[in-house]
Amino acid sequence: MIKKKKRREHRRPKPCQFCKDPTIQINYKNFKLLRRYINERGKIVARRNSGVCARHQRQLAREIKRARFLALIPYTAYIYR
Amino acid sequence: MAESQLYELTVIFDSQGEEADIQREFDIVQSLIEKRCKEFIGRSEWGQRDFVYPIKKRKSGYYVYYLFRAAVEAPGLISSALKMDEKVLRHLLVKTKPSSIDYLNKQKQIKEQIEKDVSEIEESKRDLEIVEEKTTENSESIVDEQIE
Repeated sequence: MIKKKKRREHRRPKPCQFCKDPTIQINYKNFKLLRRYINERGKIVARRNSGVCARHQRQLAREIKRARFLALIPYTAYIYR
Repeated sequence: MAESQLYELTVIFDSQGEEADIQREFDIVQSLIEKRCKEFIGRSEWGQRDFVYPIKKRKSGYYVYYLFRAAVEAPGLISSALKMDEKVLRHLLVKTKPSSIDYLNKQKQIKEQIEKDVSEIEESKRDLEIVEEKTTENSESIVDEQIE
């Protein structure tokens, strides 16, 4: 009996949200948007999890660090205080 | 000739003290920038905000955003002057893109809209008060007539 080989599903990665919509501005002033890209511990979410392209991930990281400096976004979670 | 660049400056002011003194401090920083920059584009007040973590044992501060075009040497001079200021808790001075001008214009429009809405609400409140006064007067006169 010949066993049928299962075909591996190839998922296409989702396109980057910021490439899709260039009107969205990554900026520390828009810190409500940046909050989506940090986890509950305050760490920057990796791009393999967030689905952001390399170029926009670099911009996100830079702007998150600026927003942290201005106390708009936390460096760490509250539990560690 | 030195090339000019577009810069944005966000300053966190100490919220302790009187409102008038804080407002004066905003103007002092603005004049400091105007002296050293080529073109002052505008400023936007974000108002008093709570900090996510305490800064110099303060829990909140006033955020003010300034946008200007200046030569390359200017940012260093401005930030060294801001570091000396006791009322300034923290500041961030960075190069920016021309899209920031649109942001500033949008902020101005929002502010104007809010002021308009507030004045409209106040007007409607005043009208309501007048109507209430009239109705109470009428009801009182009716009661008096009935008593007579």
